[in-house]
Amino acid sequence: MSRDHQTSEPENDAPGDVVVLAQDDHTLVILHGEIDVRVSDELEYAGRFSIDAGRRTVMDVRHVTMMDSVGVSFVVRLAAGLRSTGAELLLQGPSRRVAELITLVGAGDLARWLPEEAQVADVSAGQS
Amino acid sequence: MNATVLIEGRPPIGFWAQRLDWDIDTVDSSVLARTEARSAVAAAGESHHAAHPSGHVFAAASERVAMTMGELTTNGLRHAEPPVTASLSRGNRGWLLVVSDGSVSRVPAAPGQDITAVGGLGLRLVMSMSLEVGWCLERGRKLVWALIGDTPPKSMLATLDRAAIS
Repeated sequence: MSRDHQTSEPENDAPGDVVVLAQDDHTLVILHGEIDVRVSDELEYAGRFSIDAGRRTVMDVRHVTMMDSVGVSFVVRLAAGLRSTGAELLLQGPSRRVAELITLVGAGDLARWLPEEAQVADVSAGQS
Repeated sequence: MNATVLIEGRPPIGFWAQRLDWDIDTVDSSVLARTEARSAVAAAGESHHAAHPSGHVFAAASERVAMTMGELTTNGLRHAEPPVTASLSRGNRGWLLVVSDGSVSRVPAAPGQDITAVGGLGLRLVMSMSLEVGWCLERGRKLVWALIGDTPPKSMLATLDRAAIS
């Protein structure tokens, strides 16, 4: 609690959610809400799962409301890890916030953004 | 990429008002400082500055202050000795964030080139969003500080513009 200041309105600053799912031909990671140090264990699990699977991974960041360097590091390291196994990280947007953050750390070329209108199923069909 | 460099020196001097302070002893208190800092800047600062025409999320001072507050306080919790405190002050050049801790033997270092290495991305983000970033030792404590401008750094805007983010 701040010592001399309180906000007048309640803030929704609950930790976000990290979901990882094995799909038919790819791994799906869904990030939702505030992706920060509070979900670092969940991010580590999702990253390990995705790397071990060694398949194309789609990360849905459309509903990320906040991301700190722990979240950015997760995206960057997962993209680099997948690339080292010959797989690819695809980002499902739009998320201007996430796009700006990975650009500012110099990682804009590590992951490819899916077209906004493309659904994961469309991409799977198009690349199979 | 970063036009701002990490300097060793005291925070900028000037007339600073609207000082807010936080005790940072848990991750939750870091999140609270981040949230309250964003609210304070949005209420006090951005009411006088229209949204930046670029439309970039981090063109807003409140977003850059929130990110910086979160990163500096989290670093304090993870890498320094308690007690960790944070403050936010208003000046004529923007917003001054100062995070203080009891670890004088471990000082900040500029991030390396490898963006996939563990650590360093937080300070990289802070440096990209700040006008000035620095640290100093003072009366047995370490101070890490950042000056966030009301308007975004030109180097940050140029980087985001080049990426053509929409």
